[in-house]
Amino acid sequence: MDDAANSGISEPLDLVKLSLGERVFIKLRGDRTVTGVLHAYDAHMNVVLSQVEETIHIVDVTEDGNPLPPRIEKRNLEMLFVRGDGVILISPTQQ
Amino acid sequence: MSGFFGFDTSLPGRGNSGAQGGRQQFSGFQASNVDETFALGGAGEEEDLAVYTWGEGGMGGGGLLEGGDDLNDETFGGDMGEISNNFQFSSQPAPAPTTKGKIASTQSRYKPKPVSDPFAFSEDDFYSSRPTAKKTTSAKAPSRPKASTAQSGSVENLWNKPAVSSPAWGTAPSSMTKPTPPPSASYSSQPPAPGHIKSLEEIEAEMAQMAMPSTSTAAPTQQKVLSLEEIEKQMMEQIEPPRQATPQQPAPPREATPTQVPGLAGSGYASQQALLDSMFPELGKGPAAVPGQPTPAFPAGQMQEGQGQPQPPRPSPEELARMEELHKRITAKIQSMGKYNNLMGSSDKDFITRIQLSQLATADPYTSDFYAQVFSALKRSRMIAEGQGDGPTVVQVGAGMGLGVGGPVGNRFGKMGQNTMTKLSTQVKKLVENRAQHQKVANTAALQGALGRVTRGNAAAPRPVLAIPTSNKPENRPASQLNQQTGVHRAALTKKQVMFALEELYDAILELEQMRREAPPPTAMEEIEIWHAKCQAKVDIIWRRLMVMEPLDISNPHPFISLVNPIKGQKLFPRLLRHLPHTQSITLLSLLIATYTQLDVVVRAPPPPVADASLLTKADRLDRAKREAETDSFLQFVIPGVDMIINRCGLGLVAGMLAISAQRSEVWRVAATRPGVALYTALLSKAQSLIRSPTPDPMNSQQNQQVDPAELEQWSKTFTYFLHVLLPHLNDLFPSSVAQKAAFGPGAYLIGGDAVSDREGQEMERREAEVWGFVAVLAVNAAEEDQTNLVGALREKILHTVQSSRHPTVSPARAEMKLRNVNMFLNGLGLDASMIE
Amino acid sequence: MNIKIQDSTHSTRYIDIYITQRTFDASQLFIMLIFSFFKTLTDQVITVELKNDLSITGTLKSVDQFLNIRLDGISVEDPERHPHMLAVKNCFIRGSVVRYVRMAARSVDTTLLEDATRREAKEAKK
Repeated sequence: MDDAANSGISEPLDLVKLSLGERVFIKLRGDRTVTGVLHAYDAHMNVVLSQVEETIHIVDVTEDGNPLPPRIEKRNLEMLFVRGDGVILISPTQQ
Repeated sequence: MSGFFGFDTSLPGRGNSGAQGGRQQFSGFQASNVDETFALGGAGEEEDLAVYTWGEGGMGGGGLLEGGDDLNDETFGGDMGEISNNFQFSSQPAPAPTTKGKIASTQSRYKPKPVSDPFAFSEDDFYSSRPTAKKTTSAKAPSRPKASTAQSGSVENLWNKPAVSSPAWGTAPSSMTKPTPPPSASYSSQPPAPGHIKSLEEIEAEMAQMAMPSTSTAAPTQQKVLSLEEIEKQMMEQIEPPRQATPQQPAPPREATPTQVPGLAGSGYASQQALLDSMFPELGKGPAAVPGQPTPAFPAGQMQEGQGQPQPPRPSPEELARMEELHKRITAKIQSMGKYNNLMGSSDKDFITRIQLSQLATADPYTSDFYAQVFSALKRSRMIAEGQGDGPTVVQVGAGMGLGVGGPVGNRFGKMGQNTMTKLSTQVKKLVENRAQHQKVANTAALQGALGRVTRGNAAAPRPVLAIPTSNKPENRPASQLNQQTGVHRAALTKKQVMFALEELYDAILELEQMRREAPPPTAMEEIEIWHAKCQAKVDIIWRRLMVMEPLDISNPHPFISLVNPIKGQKLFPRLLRHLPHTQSITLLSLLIATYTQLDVVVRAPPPPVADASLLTKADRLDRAKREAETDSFLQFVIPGVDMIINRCGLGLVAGMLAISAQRSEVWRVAATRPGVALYTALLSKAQSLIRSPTPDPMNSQQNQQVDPAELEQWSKTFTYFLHVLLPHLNDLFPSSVAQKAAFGPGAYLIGGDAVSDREGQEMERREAEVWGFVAVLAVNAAEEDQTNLVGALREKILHTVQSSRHPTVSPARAEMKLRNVNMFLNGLGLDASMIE
Repeated sequence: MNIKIQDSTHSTRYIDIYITQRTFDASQLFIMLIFSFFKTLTDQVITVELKNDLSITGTLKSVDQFLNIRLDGISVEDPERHPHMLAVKNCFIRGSVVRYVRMAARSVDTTLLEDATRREAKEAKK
């Protein structure tokens, strides 16, 4: 049955298209991830998202260079454009 | 070009043979640093030259080639020698300030740098005079030889003079010079002139304007006489003109370009090339092109050198050396670049021009700029519709109305949803008020014994409405691959399949919407028909992709329900309905109602709120939020469409729909969800308004004038059955009751109390209002006896609500909402909350 | 001099072609969508977050197809960290240094934007 859907998908961006209007998970450079509802994308992976939650994974280092346990910073943004050159992957969210 | 060659002709070394001789001469010059001379004059020409060179494609070393000139005649026409005379002639006037008037025009045409103008002018002049030139030959030809002989001593001198020299010529009075001022005379003296009057006139004019008129013929000799110092002086006096004068000789090649230029004005560079190519096909022919190449290249080279030092009036030896060096470098460079020549054919260039132009202007701005175009159009229309420029406030209002919807609600489809919900509640209110006035509509006798009889076999029972039989005909089956199996049951669609199907639907809808926009003018009957057919075909495709005609039990959830489950599919719903014909939308609604329990928003309705949200796990919270969002979206996008379809139904259909629901689902479960409440409210209020005011709505032709007694009876039976199934569960429909039930321990105290923030409390009342509205419609529809039952079932709830509205800790706003809610129901029964102690 | 000119003519020509191909590709791969999107945000207040964590809020005055951005009346989110920005009232931001652009949800018609994306995706496939 999945073949039916697969047959219409010829390139990776087609998969992204399936997530239009749905919540997606995006991994970005700089230890950042965002989730949000995908409203637009282009060939550069520029995307426009709404109801965004951004997560930054930060590893602080002590004075003597030992890494502290990673901490996470989050913030919520109602509408966000993400420039494509920072995008590593786009995936539909599990839920 | 011919002019250029013409100039050559006069040089000493050359024979009568024209071009070839000239070529050789030039090469000679270069060797002897003639370049400097050119240096003086070159300034203005770069651009044209460059362009020309490109056109030629042979700018490189090729320019310096001596061979391959044989085709020159072919290329440029024969009689180079004669032309040369002409050129000579024109060359003189050029430097003169006279030219100014014309300069303007040339400038506008070529619009290179201002410097080149005088030059360009002279070219023009030259060109216009060109046809005549041949005839003038006799007069000029003699003069040339003189010059050349004189110059033979030093080439440089020769070059210097003409270049520098209009002034010089002027200063040196020659017998020929004097006569010129009276133009006609000068020409008459030279026999051949008759035909070329125009050019001659121009020349005359120029000459006249020039303080010192000089005739070409006499000049050369005179120039000879001048010493370098003299020339220098003159140059000091007017540096500019002489410089420009020089270029004229090499200039002719440029002529080719300028003539074309006017047409090219707007187009890109490449198009110039293309045009050039087309105009001088010989030039582009590869080997055959050789003759063309030298000419352009030569001037180019010279110009470059000239450019090197336009300022110093006279080059010093070191500079000469430098020039030489520069020249070599230039030549090398040109040669190295030459390998790129002809890389692109004229068709390539044309192609690129076309691309460039197409980038600049698209016939259809919607292709690449769809969003901006439509967005601004929508914005504009919104501003107009809302009383000029109140846009922002409106948007804000829209955004504020979303019941916990995270997304933007202000868009066009969003508003529609909000409107429907308010419409529904006002509808209910109206019915209730109506009812309060004339009681006693239902026939108790008719209702009695109706219980249990309302099931299948009814005229409006589900099956016929669903038209399931069609699914047996292969041509009516969805073409989708998903329908290959004929088996009764199969697995539900996977998420990916759903998404894929939805994207296909969106694409089809977009196309259809585009088609509708492109409706042909109403006058063109044939086109209209074709257009209608095309639209219809598209609608059919969409209909098949919706998979509504799949057997009812094909899968759980039904494929169509799978499509409506994601928010994305819900958003599509109203757009679909706009295009579906009435019968299809009825079928669709029947299916939706029959499979209502398969909807995510019903099966997985958001659980009642908990007292303390902090007790929830993160996953729980996310899940709740997601379900809430889906429900909100469903109410916003799907319910309006449902309501719209119901509004087009007659009583029989409405009864049928209710029967389907009652038969296929546990209505009390469905009614416990917001989408369920909304659906039933829509059905019941429609039925009631049909019964009450049978007068057809002018907006709605579907509506039958008089209520068919059979339909009425059928409705009564169905409703009674429905009510009785529902009655025991009525209290559970209220979110507050459900929450209270679900709560245990300390939470039970909090629910409904003041621990809940006022904002949340009001939100709760708003949801309660939906249910109160529903029970109000129940009351309005119910027979007297059933009304009593209703009140009995709800007594606890009513009392509790009224009491809590009088509780001091409840905010006035919330208290008022509570009262309003209860009154909505009580008013339907002719009662009021104020009567309750 | 002249050679330079000629030279530049050469290079100009090649640049021309290069640009042409770029823009040609652009229409093929649908990068005009986001440009179109940003155009509708002109005169709105947006916040541009750069890759160096500098966040600049200002009124969007113009944007081009490389998504370079011109902002007026700017303010910086964290002035202590970027004191040099205090005196700047407007600026031109090169598109490639942008990480995010934040904007108000109400200034975007998401339904329309999704449609536009579908259209462009389809165009690109043709």
